Amino acid sequence: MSLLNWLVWALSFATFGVFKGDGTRNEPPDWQAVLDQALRAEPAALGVIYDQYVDRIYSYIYHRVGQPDVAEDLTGQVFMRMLEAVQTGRGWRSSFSGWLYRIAHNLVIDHYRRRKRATFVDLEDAAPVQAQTGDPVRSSETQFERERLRSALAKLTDEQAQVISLRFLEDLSIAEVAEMLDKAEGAVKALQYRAVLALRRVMEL
Amino acid sequence: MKARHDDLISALLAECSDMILAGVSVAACLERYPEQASELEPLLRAVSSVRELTPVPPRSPVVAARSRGIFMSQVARLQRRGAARPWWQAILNPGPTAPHTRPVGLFAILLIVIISGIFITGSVTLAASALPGDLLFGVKTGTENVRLFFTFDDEAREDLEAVYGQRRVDEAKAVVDRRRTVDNLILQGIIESLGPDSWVVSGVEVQLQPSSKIEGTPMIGASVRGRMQAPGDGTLRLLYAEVLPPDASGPEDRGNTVPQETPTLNVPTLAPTPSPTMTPTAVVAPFLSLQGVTPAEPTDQPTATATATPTPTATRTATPTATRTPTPTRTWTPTQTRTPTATLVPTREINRGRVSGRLTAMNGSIWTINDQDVEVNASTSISGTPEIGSVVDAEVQFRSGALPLALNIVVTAPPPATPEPYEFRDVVEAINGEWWTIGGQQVKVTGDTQLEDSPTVGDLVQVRALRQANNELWATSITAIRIFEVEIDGIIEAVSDSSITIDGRTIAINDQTQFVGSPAVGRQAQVRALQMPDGSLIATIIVVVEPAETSTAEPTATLTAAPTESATPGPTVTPTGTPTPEPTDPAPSEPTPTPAP
Repeated sequence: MSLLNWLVWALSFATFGVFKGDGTRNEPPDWQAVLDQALRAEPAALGVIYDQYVDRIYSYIYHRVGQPDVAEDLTGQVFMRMLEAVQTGRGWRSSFSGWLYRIAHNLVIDHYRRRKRATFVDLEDAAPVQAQTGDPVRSSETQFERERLRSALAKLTDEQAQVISLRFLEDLSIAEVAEMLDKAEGAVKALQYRAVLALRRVMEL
Repeated sequence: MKARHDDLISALLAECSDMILAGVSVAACLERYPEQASELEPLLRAVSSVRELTPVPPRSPVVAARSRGIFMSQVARLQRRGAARPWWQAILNPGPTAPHTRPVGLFAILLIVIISGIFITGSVTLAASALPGDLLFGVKTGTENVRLFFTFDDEAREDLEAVYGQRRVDEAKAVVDRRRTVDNLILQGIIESLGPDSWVVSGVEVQLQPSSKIEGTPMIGASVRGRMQAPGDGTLRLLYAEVLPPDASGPEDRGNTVPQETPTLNVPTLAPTPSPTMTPTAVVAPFLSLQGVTPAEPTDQPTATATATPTPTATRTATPTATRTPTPTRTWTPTQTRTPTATLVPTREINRGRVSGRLTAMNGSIWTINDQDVEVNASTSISGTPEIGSVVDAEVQFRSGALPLALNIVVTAPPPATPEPYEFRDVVEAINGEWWTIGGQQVKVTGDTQLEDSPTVGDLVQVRALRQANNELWATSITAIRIFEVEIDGIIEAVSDSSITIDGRTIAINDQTQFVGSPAVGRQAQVRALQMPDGSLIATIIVVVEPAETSTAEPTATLTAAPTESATPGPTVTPTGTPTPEPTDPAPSEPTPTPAP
């Protein structure tokens, strides 16, 4: 690699954060300051980030694994990874939310790789859902549909499942998903289209 | 043409799905694009059906609080170590900040990149993503070694080692995923499962070979460090492994086994010395002779061909036929040098291991040692008097499809100083990490605490705890007391001063029970009661339906009601044969004085 290429690489690396803003949503107005403080390992900022994201990450993981205890465990691991990254100076470089979801996604993949079995939970093994409405029939129907969706997601490609989860279960925008997957927005739209088609086919909707 | 059409539909789908996410109905979306409605509708229905499943069951507040506590404790730990971060690392890794917030970092990077030499920095940076087998992988590990060498803070060094260990695991996974051929790669991690032909180490499956050399006693939870070979077929083969014992028991669990000083070596060698107090055990001897490996953990096994020089007292005469009289007491010899290159050629007898730590449960034949369930049977040799809280050292045999079988168990330390059982019932006022405030008392929730029925702040709970020597309360169980209100309607079958029976159900009466009317056998009554966790019922209000013609005197026990709207104690039961005038009003507004018996 030539010297010129190296300089270009170094400039690109150094200015990476200039052009890519953080795509986080619903964060406090001084969110960027919180992120900066978190990178300096300031406990209050890390606590704010944890509180801001823990339920969302849990939700994302829960939708993929379907077991509350596993989701809780993996959620904890996500934030431990975040701390490790802060500690070693290898934290987020563009979108924090995309970076954090990517950790969660990788952990989910690792989880399934470890288990080496189907990526859905049998109904018999599924954790009982606490009835919110007091209607056990409705709860079990919801649980059934949730398992059905989860097994359907498991039949999609990894990227398709991810875009469905992030878009429709976690409410991330196209732009955020694009940042997370490191794709152009147009590519994410096309991916989403294919994913919905595939999901519809698998679930026979 | 088809591609353009797909682009259009995918763009419309993106727009409409955004609308659905914003709460707009599918029909409203379709109205905007009538020409594409027939194609969009099934897609949007699919999106909508997925949306219906969005809510997830709420996280347990207890678990959530505990998770946050763990996270914040790690944050505090991180902050304490913040100062250990080298200045050059701070410059090289300024974080994801925009240049307007940290321009100095940007220029510093450029300056360093340019001045310190493109090639060196570039090589190191490129090497960061190198995998075993890559040309730059040596640069990567070399850089790590340099960083470790110049890290003098023990904690920071420990952290770095952990990071590098995780890096090795990630690399091993990448090598397997990419089916690379690597002759020699390093892996270190935790043994998560042990099989006859393979182990899982920190999520990576490792195949055992007949030629695999294993140093130490493999057991679940133990750290392992070793060299692997990736033949390129998506597997990893174990060449050499060094197993370090798990250190989950904590310093207090070592009890008397660390009497002199803390060893500074990772794997201190044990020098057993005879102790006259131990019970003779014949079961141990065959195990010792069978073991083809030298455990890394301090042990009483013969050290075979290890090059380490044992102290004179370390030589133990354990012959297969001898009835070993003294079981050695463990003492550490921190001056002993570990010899990782010990020329041990273990056999494949790797299905035995050691479980050490606090004995936390003894449920029949299943004992729990340091969170590991083991089976104890008639052949298990037990030295000492194991009881809950004892620190024990067990040699176990791993079995497929069954719990590890304890071959022998030695009590190495008694339970901690007389923890006293303490039980109380009160309301959870606050949860701060592992410390709960229950009825004004601080209670520690440990990993062994059983939380039943998801107790949380505001719940009435039953607490079973052990008061430690330092007066701390450590909960063994916290049970949320869920009380339900029930109504029972029927004929009174029996009544006394402490209970009333209606339709075969006995309901307790206490001084808080309010009465409307006079309960008597044969009368119709409606009872509102609290159903306690054990199923018992306590009446809060008993309303007796008065007969149409009220007699003025009742031959049976009667009650004079004092129903007020306040929380005033209810009526007094007067189980007397003396006829008591009945109140004619079923709901008198004023309490009626009760004549003494």
